Amino acid sequence: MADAMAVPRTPLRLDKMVPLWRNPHFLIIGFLLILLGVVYYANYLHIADWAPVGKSFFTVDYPHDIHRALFLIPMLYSAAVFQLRGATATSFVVLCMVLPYGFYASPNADPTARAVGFVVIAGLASVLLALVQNRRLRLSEERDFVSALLDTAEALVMLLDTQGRIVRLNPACERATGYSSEEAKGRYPWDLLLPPERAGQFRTHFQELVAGGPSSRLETTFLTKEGDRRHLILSDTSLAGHEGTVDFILCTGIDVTEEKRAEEERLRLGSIVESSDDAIIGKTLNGIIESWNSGAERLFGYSAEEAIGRPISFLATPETVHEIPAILARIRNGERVEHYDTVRLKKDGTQVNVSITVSPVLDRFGRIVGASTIARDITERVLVEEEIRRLNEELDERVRERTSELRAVNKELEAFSYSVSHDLRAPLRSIDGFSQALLEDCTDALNDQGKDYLRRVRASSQRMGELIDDLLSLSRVTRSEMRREEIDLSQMVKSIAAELQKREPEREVQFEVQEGLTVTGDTQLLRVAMENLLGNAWKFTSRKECARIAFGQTEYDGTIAYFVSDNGAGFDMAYADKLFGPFQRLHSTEEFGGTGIGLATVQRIIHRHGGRVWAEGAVNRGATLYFTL
Amino acid sequence: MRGKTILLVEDDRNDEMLTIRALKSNNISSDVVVARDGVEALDYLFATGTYAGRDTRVMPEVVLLDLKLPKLDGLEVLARMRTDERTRMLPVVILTSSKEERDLMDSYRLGANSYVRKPVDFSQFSKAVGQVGLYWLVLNEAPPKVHGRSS
Repeated sequence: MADAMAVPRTPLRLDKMVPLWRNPHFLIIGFLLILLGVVYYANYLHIADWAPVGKSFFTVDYPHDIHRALFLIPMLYSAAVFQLRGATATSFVVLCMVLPYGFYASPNADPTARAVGFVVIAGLASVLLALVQNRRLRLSEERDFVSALLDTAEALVMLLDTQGRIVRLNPACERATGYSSEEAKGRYPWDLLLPPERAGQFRTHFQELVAGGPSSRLETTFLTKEGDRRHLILSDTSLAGHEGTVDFILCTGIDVTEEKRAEEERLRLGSIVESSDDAIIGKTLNGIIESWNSGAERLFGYSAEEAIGRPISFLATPETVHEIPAILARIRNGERVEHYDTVRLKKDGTQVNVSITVSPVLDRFGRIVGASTIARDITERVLVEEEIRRLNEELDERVRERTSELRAVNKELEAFSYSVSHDLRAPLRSIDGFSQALLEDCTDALNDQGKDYLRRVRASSQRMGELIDDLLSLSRVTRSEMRREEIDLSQMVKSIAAELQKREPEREVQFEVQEGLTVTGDTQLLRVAMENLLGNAWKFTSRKECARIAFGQTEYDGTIAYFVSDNGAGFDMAYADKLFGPFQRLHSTEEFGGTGIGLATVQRIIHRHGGRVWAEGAVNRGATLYFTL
Repeated sequence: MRGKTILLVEDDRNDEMLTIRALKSNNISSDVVVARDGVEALDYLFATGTYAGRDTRVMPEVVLLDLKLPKLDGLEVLARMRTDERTRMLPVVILTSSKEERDLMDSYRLGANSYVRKPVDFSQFSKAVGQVGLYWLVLNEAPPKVHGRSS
């Protein structure tokens, strides 16, 4: 502290008093005395009677009054230049008036004697003056010293006269306020420096001092020239002249803005630390607890008094106590330990899961002087995590079970389809084949009705064959693996349209295909879907003269939907939801062929792509099938 | 076409009858040897079991092989045929009800020369069998005869 406050030593000038004869005022006084001595000696004043007059003080005596007046000239001058005031000045003047009588130096008739008497007595007065002079010089030397002190002091010093006008500011004060001493001179501090709300307080304080009140401290705020607000502790004192009257008021202030800010910051940080839900613990590099916030009290159950001074390891469990030296070692290396999940002991002996972050605490020179530990109760989190892990495991287990169940079901389904594929068709083939054989080989034994029956048998078995095939392809759609790739749907539609046209070249169907619609999906599956959709459109427009089939993209409820529309037979919207059920038909087989599997297949394919399919239509007004992917 | 033999591997009597009828109605009068399961088919081809002593130098012109068979299924028969020198190049036509992708893939992978699905409609079935017979017995040039190392 002594270093920080060291003021450069100013040479004390008290021992360097100016000799009397080098004081200009003193020389002037000497010159005046000699001048007046010459006036007496040369008898320039033609006064009739310079004769001695005894000791009549109070009689008006013209020549003597002139003599006294002459005497007063140098004396008053000296009183003025040396600033003798008040009682000192009065007594000095009286002394000077009395002196000529006291020494019987009153006007002598002889001009020489008059001159000698004047100079001698004035000389004596000079000695007297010299004493005063000396004291004055001393005082001025002291003032030099004081101003040197003020110039170099770090404290803000403002000198006010008794009216409150600024006499001067020391450099520190100039720097702090932004005003130069010259600028401030003659202004009132409450106008210049103080914010309005503080002006009254300072004024009252000032007036108390002028009235002789004791010096006192005042905490206030001042405004700099730039308008910044700074905090100040003022310590004011009155400077009395040596006569005891108050000459000046010396205001000494210390700018505590930074300290105040730091203090506020400290309080703010302190309250943050205190209000934190987390435990915040300060400790030395040896692990001795130095601070303990209320979060720590809540978390560990120990009060600050109980905890401070104890080693941090008293919070560890026997299993985790080995962590403490390792953590402290890392801190000493300047490392941070972050989000370290561990277990600590509470006062009641129960364990608590905490996540701790330990950081080195640095002093202003960057040296590691301690550590701060922030500990958070993560019991709940640990429980939740365990719960999540448990649930996940359960879920995994369930998924595994379901998967194997599914796999088994799938396998069964596959075996079933395989068997259907092979075995179910063979008898049909026999029915059909032998009916045909019967028709061919025994045609004579059959009448027309019998032949018709056999033809019906054949037709039915063939239809059953188709049903089986469609069913199998539907189940294949579900079973087959998805391979997603970029597909040009427009191109696909066009190629299917060309195939349909090729199959029935006699039909005239106008296809409108929107170009460049690409999607991501399984090519094979989407082809099956598009074949079904276009095949339906083709089929249901078979009775139209100007059949029209369109494919394109539209927006439906904010998502992109694709559509296949036709102007064919359409359907009744009342049955719209039945369209997609397997084997659901809205037309008789005689009207339009088919097994009723097509749209069910389409729906499965679209669903497998995560999309949606729906239909709009009206009887004889065509149908539009929409789907999203 | 006389003197040429067809090996029909078929467990279903009805299908057997219909196949032979179809062959006949297409004027294919080759001898049709029928094997009712996979084992019998191999016995015939390799002259073992009930066919022991058969001259293995005489091989059928084409094998019409069903896939779903008792004991050894068609794919196993095919696999065995393709590992044996004597039957490695013998034309095999899979003639079956299924058109499962799996069956198609496996058949071709194991070296089937053709895969024909039996339609339910007998007219179509008859047409298909006729075309198969015509192709493999008439149009197709068989590989040169391999003189098996008969025991």
